Amino acid sequence: MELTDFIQKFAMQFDATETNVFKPETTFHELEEWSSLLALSIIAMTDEEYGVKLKGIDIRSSVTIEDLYNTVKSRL
Amino acid sequence: MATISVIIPVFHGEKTIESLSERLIKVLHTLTPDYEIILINDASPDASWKKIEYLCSKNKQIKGLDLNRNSGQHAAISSGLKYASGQKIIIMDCDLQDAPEDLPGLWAKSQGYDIVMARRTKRNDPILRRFSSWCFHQVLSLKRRKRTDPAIANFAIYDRKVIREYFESHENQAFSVLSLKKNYTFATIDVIQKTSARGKSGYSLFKLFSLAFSLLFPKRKNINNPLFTIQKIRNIAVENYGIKLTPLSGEKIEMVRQWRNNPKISQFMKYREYITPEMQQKWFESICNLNNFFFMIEYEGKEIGLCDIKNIDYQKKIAEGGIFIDNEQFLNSDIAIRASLCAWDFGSETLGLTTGIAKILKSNKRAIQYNSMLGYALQPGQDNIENQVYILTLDTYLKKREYITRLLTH
Repeated sequence: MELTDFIQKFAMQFDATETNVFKPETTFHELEEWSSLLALSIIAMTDEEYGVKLKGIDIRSSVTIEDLYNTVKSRL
Repeated sequence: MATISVIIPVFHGEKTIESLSERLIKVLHTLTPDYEIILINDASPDASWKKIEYLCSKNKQIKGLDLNRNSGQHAAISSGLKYASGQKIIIMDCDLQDAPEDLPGLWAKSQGYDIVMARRTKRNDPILRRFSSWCFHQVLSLKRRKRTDPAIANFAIYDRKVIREYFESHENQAFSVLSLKKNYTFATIDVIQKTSARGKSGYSLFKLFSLAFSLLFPKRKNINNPLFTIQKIRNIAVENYGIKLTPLSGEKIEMVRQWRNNPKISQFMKYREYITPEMQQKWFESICNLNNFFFMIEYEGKEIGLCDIKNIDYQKKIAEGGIFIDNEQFLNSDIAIRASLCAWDFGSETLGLTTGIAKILKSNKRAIQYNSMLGYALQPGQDNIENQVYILTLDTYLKKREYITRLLTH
């Protein structure tokens, strides 16, 4: 699992945010489009793509996309 | 959801409710471990509420409601019924006239009936009490056009469906009287009434005549628009998905007012002006009825927002839903979804609702996405309206819930 691949899949859950916004250091909670629905979409995405079942607290406690990537990677 | 709820209006109960609770718990344990005792302090001038708080702190299955003003026994019962979750509901007095040891008899008989009432075989009341009760039953007989039994008072057990139909009725009538008007299966069992520990009835002649008058000339929706509010609540909550929803009480409305005045929240509301404490109190009084449930959302011991099931139409089984989260840490997270599921489960399973309405500002894209995720669909002809109406059906909700809970409860 590569960080760039994860970021790409993470970005695909968004509709109205430019793809160049998504970087390892992006604090995703602060994105205009971020919502409860997206939190749920990210949980579904990591389950489908990586077989990793994230919990709500994993998303709430991650600050950057890379933080979340590291959480997913640690459970592969 | 409890198997048995025991509703006890409390007035001058300081010296009786501890003993009553102890005896009740002993008896209830022989019937089911899944019971709740709801004590409603009808603004008693003694230390009844302090005693209720003490009992609640000792046993989570004892729940307390504190009314801000004395509203009468039947209004207090009505308040307790609103939060009763039992499949069977028992109503009894607080003054030890009704013996908990008679419950197994009521319970056993209730398996074949919608309502089973205790019939006092030996009344120990003073003569004035017996006379006032006789007068009350004369009025009741007149109203029902058939004779009623003065040996029957509050002590009874009801099936949950009777409670639901009471909520639908919108009439200013004592619960026990209203239930007799319908075609329920009904039975009585004989009990020996004990002497009131207070030595006198909580019902004065004046109160009984007032009640009789209200039976003869009912005002529609009076009970649904009471003159009291629930000031404090102990141990009453809906819990699921890691969330606790506690009914909004008077002691929390200032906190909610401050949240609601925060521009981060008010910008998404139809009413966006500043809310004063007086306006908040007036609003709170307007929602303290059977048609509205407002809940504080609690997560990990923190109160983080408010959700509601409001403007309930029990006959059409439809209500409006709403939610806001104040705490930045939990904003736009799974917590709001968990709270919505918790509220909707309560609405559908306990209140019997089948349809939800959400009114969402057209500009609030996040709320539109959020509600669509739960299964709400925009109604036809709403495209150019600022405050749009979305509808959620129970079937759609159950399908969405299955998917969402699978993701949230890994």
